[in-house]
Amino acid sequence: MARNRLYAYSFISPALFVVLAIVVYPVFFLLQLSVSEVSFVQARMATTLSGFNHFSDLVSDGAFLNSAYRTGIFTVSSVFLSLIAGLGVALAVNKVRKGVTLVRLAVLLPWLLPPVVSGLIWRWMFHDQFGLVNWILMNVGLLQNRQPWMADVATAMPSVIWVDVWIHIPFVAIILLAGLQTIPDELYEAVRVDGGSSLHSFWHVTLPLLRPYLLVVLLIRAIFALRVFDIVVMLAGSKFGSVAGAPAGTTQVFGLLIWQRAIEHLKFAESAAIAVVVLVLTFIVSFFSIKMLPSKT
Amino acid sequence: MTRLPLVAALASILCACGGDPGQPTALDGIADGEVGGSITFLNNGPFAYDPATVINMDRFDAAHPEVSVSRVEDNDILARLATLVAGGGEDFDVAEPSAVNVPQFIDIAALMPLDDLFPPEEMARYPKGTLDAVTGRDGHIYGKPHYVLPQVLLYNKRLLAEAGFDRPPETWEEIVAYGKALTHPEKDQWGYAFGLAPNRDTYHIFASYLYQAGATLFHEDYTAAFNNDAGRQALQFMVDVLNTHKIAPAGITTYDGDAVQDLFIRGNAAMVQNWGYTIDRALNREESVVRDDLGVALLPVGPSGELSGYLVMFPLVATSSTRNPATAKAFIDFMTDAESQKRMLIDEPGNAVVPPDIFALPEVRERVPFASEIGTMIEASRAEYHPKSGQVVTILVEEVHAAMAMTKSVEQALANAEARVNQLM
Repeated sequence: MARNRLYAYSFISPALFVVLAIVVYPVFFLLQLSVSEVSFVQARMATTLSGFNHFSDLVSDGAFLNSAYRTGIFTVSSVFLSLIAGLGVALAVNKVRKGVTLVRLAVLLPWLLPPVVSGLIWRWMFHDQFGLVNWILMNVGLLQNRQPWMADVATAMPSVIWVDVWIHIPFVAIILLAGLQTIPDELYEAVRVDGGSSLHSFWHVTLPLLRPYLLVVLLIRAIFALRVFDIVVMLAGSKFGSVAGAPAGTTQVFGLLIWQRAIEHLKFAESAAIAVVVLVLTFIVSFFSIKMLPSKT
Repeated sequence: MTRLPLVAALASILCACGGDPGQPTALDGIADGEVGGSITFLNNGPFAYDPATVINMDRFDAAHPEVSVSRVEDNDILARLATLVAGGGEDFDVAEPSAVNVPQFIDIAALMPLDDLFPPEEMARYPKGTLDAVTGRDGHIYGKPHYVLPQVLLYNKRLLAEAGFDRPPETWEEIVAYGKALTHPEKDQWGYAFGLAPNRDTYHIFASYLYQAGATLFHEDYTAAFNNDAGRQALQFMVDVLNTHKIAPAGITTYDGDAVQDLFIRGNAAMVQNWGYTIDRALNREESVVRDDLGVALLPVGPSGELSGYLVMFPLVATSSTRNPATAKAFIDFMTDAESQKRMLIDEPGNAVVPPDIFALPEVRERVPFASEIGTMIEASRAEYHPKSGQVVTILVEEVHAAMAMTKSVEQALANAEARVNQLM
């Protein structure tokens, strides 16, 4: 028996090692860094434990508070809008009877592109002089002058949210489509027999039975949105590293601030403290989402 | 008991991975101070864009068969340096970062002094102010200029002539007057543009106008020196170009040098203040419509009345963690000697070098378009050192952008920037 257990452990040890090396160790290192003072001795980072001062400093850190606000706006808007739009797409695709594979492939396309590529594409589409968005809107008469989408404080964050929603609609739609296909047709028949409308079917059959799928999507999307970085860098940052969250800090989400503090300012401990805050927020979102999931689906 | 071998195996794997994570630099029995063995050179960006660098590295290989140079290219040297100091190891020996990122690494002793590469005769080749950005608080020089990007005024001669101008503007007032006459948004034509992408571009451009206005970025004690009349004039000029005179496209606060270049070579901007590499692209890119109408001039002077600009520099630096310092220095010395600099100027269009004697060479005068304007601009340009350069760049980017977006007044933005910079020290 003991011999069998040894074999079992030896089989899982490579995977265990990988998890320890690339997940557990970095998290512990992050936690340790966030409660340390960093100094440099002969160009090498040295840490000494210093308590929770980096966390208490965040309370009066204007850039952190701005980032918390911007991340909140981004997360709530992006998750909510992608859920609504993704649900709409899933309902529409669920009705398709011909060319199902082609339609699903077309729906998936934005999600198949790496976010960096999507960000770059939209960066050019939002360009005030050569961008496709202005060209279309001006040609259909919706815009009089060229709009600098990413340079205007009023349109920069909505533009970033739009791109994030565009990227994630397929992900939401595919999961919800899987959920829709598990709903038996008999339930819709029953609503029709009882004289219920399509709205009744949606409200009393579709939504309740999609609830676990919606919660899973909500959980994953919220986690993705809280730690967003790549899309914002491509749209509001620049290729020379600096990620100031322009214009005027309106797109300065947590991901950008963490990068800026660590890489551009060499403030590794302060950066780690912000990363820990994001980690805790992610845990909280995950905890409540999982709590809301039915125990049996 | 049965778990012991498993624990031991895991522990040994962990120990094996816990050692030096970097790629060790081979010394191959090279004595201290002797040139030989191998080093790793980290180039800023792809070698495909740096033909002269490749030529000079090949020349180094031929001249030093006892040395092996590993050539690595990276678009984000700053991140590479930051992870080097955070993670330890000897990832590379020589790198080519932007000079604006160098001071913060000097400040934590991550770079090696290179004073012995500047004997008096070599030092004399560098005009005053051109080495300030790589000279540490301790007076040591930590980087040798590999290439620089001079800022010049590029203009479309045809558009200026059509508007009745027979020469380029020479002052800020003329920039505005010309810009107004040349701006026709209905024809997608703008009078003037510069690139204020939210990165070090903004820092460079603001510093450029600041110098033209007669101020500097920092005092000798590294406190802010820009919150004064000259600083306000500089930032107000930038804000007015965009918001009051409306002679630049509204999106310039997102444009980097490449975007400004695109605007110019497609004929959408009559005049731009941009990096020297635009000259080559305006002359040689297929999509360029200004090939036969390109004009290049010195930057217009501001209220100070003196020619000035910010000198963007990419020096070669050696990491203090290198295990082969003599070879690293020999490599830097070779890559920045007069012959290598001549190759850089001739074979790598757009990237220039500092010493004026290279610009005086007949071969350079003959083969490098607008060599006189570029050389003059480099001599008149400068850069400054601040030990917390990374944070200073962020502060100025944020405050300048707030002023450009008019969420803060020029006075507010400069006062905030001053307070934040002064807090750093």
